[in-house]
Amino acid sequence: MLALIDEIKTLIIETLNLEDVTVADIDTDAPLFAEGLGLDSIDALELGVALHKRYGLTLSAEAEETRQHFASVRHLADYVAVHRNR
Amino acid sequence: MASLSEFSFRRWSAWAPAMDDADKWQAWARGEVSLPDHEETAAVRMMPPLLRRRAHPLGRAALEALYAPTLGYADPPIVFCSRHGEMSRSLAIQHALAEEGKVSPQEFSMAVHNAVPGLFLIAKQSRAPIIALASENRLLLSGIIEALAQLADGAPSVILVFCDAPLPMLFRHFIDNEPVCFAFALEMTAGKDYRLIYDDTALSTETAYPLEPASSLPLLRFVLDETQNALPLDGAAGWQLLRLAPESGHA
Repeated sequence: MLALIDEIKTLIIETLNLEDVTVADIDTDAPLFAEGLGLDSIDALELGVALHKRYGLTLSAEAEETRQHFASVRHLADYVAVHRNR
Repeated sequence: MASLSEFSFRRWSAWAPAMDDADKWQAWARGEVSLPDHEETAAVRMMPPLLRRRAHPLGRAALEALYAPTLGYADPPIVFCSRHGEMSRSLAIQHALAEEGKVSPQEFSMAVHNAVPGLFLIAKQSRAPIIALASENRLLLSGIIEALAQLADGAPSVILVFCDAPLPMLFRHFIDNEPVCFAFALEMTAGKDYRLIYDDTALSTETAYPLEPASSLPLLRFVLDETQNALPLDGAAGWQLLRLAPESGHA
């Protein structure tokens, strides 16, 4: 799981062009959006596309569960670990 | 009442690779040096990284000009002018659409002509008006007329931004190309340094001026190098920018 957590952090950094941010800078349990890492709604869409390409996941932009999966890197890793198909 | 066609430029800023101070731009304006053919992307250190990451090289050039301390941006309207905008971004989106069927949301969100000044105003938490213009041969004229209209509408000053960059290779067969990525900004105010005129007698007069002023750089050169008295703004007609002598007042 730790490897997957770092993999997802790397995916976030590369996908969202987070300059000067390293894997170590991202708190696994901190919110990804708004007050945490400071990502916005466009980043959420971008991450959705990246998660589809990398892990074959399809997240609905409307669903309440999606909001929970995106709450933190740990939540995202838990979801990816169970539902990935590539 | 002030003439609707007279104005001044109070402040300016410019960015191009390796052109990192005003003296270099003055030397370029005098024709002593060309803009260096050099790959460099503007650092835009004054912009928060979370916003800066969205800008591509052309946008970064424009942002660097907007952030320049010499411009001292303080909330006036922005008239953003670029012939082609970020064509490399648009092309990449079209490639992605053709090859993968999906486009990047963040690239798509920035693929509008007003995205770069919008990013700047988000960073500045400003609600200043923006207009973004694209034009092949009348960009300078269009930008100046728009800025004059905003002055006439009551704005104390208007920031005119001009920027362009080399086009992706795919397009270079079809159109002349800017050799380097550049951006400059001019703060227009009411004043009596320049006058926009329409003089169609110029149509029949052969001048030394280039007839296709498609690049916007001649405006910056005209402002910085005071040896020219008139700048043609429209190769096909008679729009010109005149430099007014300090003592001339109203003609």
